[in-house]
Amino acid sequence: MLCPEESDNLNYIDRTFSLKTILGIIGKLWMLAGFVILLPLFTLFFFPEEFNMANCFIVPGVMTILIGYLTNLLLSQKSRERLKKNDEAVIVFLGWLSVIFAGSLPFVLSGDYSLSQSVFEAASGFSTTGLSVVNVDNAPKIFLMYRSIMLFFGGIGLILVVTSILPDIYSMRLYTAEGHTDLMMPNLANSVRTVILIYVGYATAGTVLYYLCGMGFFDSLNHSMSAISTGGFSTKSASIGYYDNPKIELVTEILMILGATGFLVHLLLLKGKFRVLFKHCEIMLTILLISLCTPVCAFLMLNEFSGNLSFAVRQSLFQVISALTTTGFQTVSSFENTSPPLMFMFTLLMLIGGGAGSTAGGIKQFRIWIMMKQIWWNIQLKFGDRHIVRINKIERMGVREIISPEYLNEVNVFVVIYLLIFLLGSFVLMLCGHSIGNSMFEFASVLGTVGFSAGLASSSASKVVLWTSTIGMILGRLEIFVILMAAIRIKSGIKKPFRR
Amino acid sequence: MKIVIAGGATESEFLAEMLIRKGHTTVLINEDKNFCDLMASKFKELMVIIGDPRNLSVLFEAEIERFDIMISLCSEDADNLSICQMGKKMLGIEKNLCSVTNPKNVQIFAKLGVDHVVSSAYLIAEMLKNAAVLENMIQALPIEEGKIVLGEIIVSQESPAANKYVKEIKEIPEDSIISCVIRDSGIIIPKGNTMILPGDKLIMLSSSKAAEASELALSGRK
Amino acid sequence: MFFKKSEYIIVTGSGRFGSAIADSLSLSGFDVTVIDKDEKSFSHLSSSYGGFQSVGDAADIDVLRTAGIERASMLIACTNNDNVNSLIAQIASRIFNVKRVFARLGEKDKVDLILGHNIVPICPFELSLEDFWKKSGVSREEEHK
Repeated sequence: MLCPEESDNLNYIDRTFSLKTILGIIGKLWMLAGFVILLPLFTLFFFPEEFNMANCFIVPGVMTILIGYLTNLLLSQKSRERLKKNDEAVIVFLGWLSVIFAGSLPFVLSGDYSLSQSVFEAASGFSTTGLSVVNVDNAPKIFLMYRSIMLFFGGIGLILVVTSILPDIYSMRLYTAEGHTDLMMPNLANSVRTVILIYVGYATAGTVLYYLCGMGFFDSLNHSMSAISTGGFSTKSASIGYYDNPKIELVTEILMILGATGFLVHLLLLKGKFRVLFKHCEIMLTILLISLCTPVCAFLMLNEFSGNLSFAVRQSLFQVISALTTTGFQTVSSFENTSPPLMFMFTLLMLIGGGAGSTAGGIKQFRIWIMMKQIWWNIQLKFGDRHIVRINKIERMGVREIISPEYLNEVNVFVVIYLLIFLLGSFVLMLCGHSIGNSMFEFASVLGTVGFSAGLASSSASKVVLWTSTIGMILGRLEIFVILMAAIRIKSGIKKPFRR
Repeated sequence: MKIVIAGGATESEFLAEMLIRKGHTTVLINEDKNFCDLMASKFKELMVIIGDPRNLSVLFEAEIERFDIMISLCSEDADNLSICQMGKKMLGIEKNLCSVTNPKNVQIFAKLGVDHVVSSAYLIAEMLKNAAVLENMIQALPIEEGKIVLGEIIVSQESPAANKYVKEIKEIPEDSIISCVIRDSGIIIPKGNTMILPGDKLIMLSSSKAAEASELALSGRK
Repeated sequence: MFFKKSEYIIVTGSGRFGSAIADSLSLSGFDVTVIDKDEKSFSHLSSSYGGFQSVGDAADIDVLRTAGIERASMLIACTNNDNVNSLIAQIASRIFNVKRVFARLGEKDKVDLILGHNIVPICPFELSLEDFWKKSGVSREEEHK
């Protein structure tokens, strides 16, 4: 199979990496990583007894900032090399990988976690998955805060945050490579700043609401950041189920749905354009799925709650939203013993995922919508009048957007690749000795960056399971195509890595 | 009068023929060689210039300075605007007229200095607008880009205007006037003391907004 | 300042000239929208372009309205047709009172049409000619007006 960059007659093209430029930009990401690592230190004001944990954060944090700063300073100023085609995918991929590794250092340094576990936790944090090897009830508060901070920055997007503070001429390419599609305004810098402002706003509002519902301040802050980034880390091992409070569950549900809604749709919401909002295909699909699945799941859960219908509905609604928005807050301790039909429902919801351009993962709702519509369009074509001109359109943010055959193809290919990876990952988990149901459930959770666990990815998990999950989480967060592009680019660049 | 027609094809031929028959000095500027040959052979008195009327140099060569009217009938609206404006600014042609394909340009070009802008779609729209609203108007003619409507109203026995003096009919709205009354005996230009009789045909001149109200006031029908 | 209050600029025509201007304006931090009839023309824009793209006939007043001409502080008309640029520039300046309007005109003749209406002409051929005279050092005869 000929690699697109490999055909012989294109040998004259200079494939060498613009290494200096790449590293120079990754340096900025490292500075951000260092900042993220140092940020949890503010909790020491509130919990000064954890002072002995400070070194786990100060050392890697300062180091990462320094290395990042020096790299950026030395390389990008002197480098006049322009960023070659597809190198932005390399930056995003290697950048995220290195940030995750740096982010795992506090866990490693604490001595409580192995390298595999630490990398897993960091990957889970930045990818907003929410699977954890940490024993939450006994863990130091500073680590809990650190996890939530990883979720928040990872959910918004590392490149996006860096672009708002240190933009450069490649910012637009990097922005697209990280998977963000549209701009809120015709100005990149202002757009990304608006996104950050909106998320900070939601997180603040969430914290206040939780506090008013009776949650302590520390828990409110953590859960708010976790919900809006659709991450799913909790400060309690029983997650939101610990509180058994419908008001808290409601606040969480609102935050989760907001987090799983695309940035651009938020603009509609904040401008008050409600009619347009409800005609948007992803909103319609969300409402449809929640309305259909909640009663079904409630019915399936009925036995567990000894026939208490209202309780079952309340639990079902929460779990359905948690699965669909790929957040992963659980109100049940483990999904290990859930009945197969219920597991199937959740697996399906986790695969579907949230909205495009949001913090959520999964195949993404607009793709599912297009695939469903595709069936109808096909039927129309086969059985309808051949002479009538039909343009295939979907309703997106108030505009009836045309879906060209090329775009349809892209969507279909993405779905196929996603499902292939899903099957492969599930198979690996099965090889580790887990049942088919649990494996598929767990890997759907990993790939969709959800965070529901059937017990597979936990502190007792084997290295294979941990690393498979880590890879899956990164694949899920970074839009598979970008990673493929990065891999291909790296391969062709390695053949002639350095220019004389 | 001295008139120049730029661009166009069948419409230019039609206009040129009409203008020549009326005795006006007519110049045709067109890019299409075959069309030019045909026109030149058909109309001896017609001055045919082959060239792109969008080029100022071609316009100068045609020696149409200080002609009376410029008519631009090219297929592109933007070209027609430029030609009319060049006519006015550089050639001293005071009055201009052009056709447009995009009806939205009717009002835009009027603002930008074209004296008369014609769009078939626009005219049909205006006609339909007025015809739909005014059922009883047998003929509704839009003037001045539809801002003024000239219409016919038939007065019947039951009409509020029947057997009343014009000055008595209070219901006639502000922007409306009965310009003429047609009675089998002939045409009457009405004054305040003219009596309107059943069977009269009234020619109303009103603004497009007042047209419907005046019909209601005079004939009693919506 | 966290948010830069930005000028909104509309560029009509995504040819080489239009897209080059749009690219540098966008990089300089302005809010930019490019309008072009043909979607394929947007490939002239660089990958670092951070503004909006709109497919449509910029000479149509509704397309301009949708693109937000009412809040534009600058419009640059640079399609490859002088007459269309002249029309767009006049619509922008005389109907929407856009503060700064630029029109690319290949032919010097058309410049007189837009004079006196707050529209600044950009004549690429004239500029290239000036550049040539300056660089070649050849003395030339003054053109008869």
